[in-house]
Amino acid sequence: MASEQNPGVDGPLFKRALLGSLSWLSANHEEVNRLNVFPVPDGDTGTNMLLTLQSAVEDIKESDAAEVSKIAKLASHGSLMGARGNSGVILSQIFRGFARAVEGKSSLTPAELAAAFEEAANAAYRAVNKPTEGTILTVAREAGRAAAAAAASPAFLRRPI
Amino acid sequence: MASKTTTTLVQSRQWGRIEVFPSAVGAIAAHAALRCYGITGMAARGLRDGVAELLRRENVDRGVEVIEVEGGLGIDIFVVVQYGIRISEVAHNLQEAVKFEVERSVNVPVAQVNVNVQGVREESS
Repeated sequence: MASEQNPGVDGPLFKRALLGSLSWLSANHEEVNRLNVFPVPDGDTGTNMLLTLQSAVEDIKESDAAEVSKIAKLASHGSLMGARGNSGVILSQIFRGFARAVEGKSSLTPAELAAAFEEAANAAYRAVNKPTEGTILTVAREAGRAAAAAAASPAFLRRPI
Repeated sequence: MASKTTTTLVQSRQWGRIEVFPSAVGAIAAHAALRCYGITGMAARGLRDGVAELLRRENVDRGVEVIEVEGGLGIDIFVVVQYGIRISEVAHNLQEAVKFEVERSVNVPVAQVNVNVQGVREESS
């Protein structure tokens, strides 16, 4: 259960995190574009990801759901429908895995959040025959690992990962 | 007009000629497809008893047909995709990846990549 010191991640907090990541990506998508080398080095990864994330967040802006599971489900559906490019399709699978991992939960403890990140990465890996490392897949997996390692720390969820 | 060819590409060079056969182009295309996100595997052309047949790694190039069209190569590719994913976008990504890989490898323009989604699989691996 969520304690006084650590309220855990509920719907409104997760919503804020997603809106925050959208504004971060809006500001930095040009830099992500410059990183694009695989499978086709056409420099559109950041833009594709931004469009996908915009679609993911679309319905969430209107939502005041208290449960993290509801917000995650909206993000999963929105990113599926608005997926653009490879990175966008992968992002939609990450959201799908995350939504599945938090299904039925109203808020997440640090350990549950970390587990959801890891499951999100696993789900993304399952949708490809030969995964290529150094892509967003690697980022998702390492974020999951870092979250799992940080979940033990009392400061977790108070500061950004 | 589209025509089936036995030789996709012949280049004459100082020391002789270089031929690239459609099967080689097919193998390159299949390789690119298998690395493409959302593609579960290659499928045999056509359906067996109405069901898509997922090809084993050794004969993935049976899921590709290479023809000559105006302006370059035409590549028909037969795949099975992952369930729960935006298929139209995966197919579009596949077209780009195949065109890029084939053009880079054999240096012949690819005029068309036709994607045939033969089936959808629930995550297996």
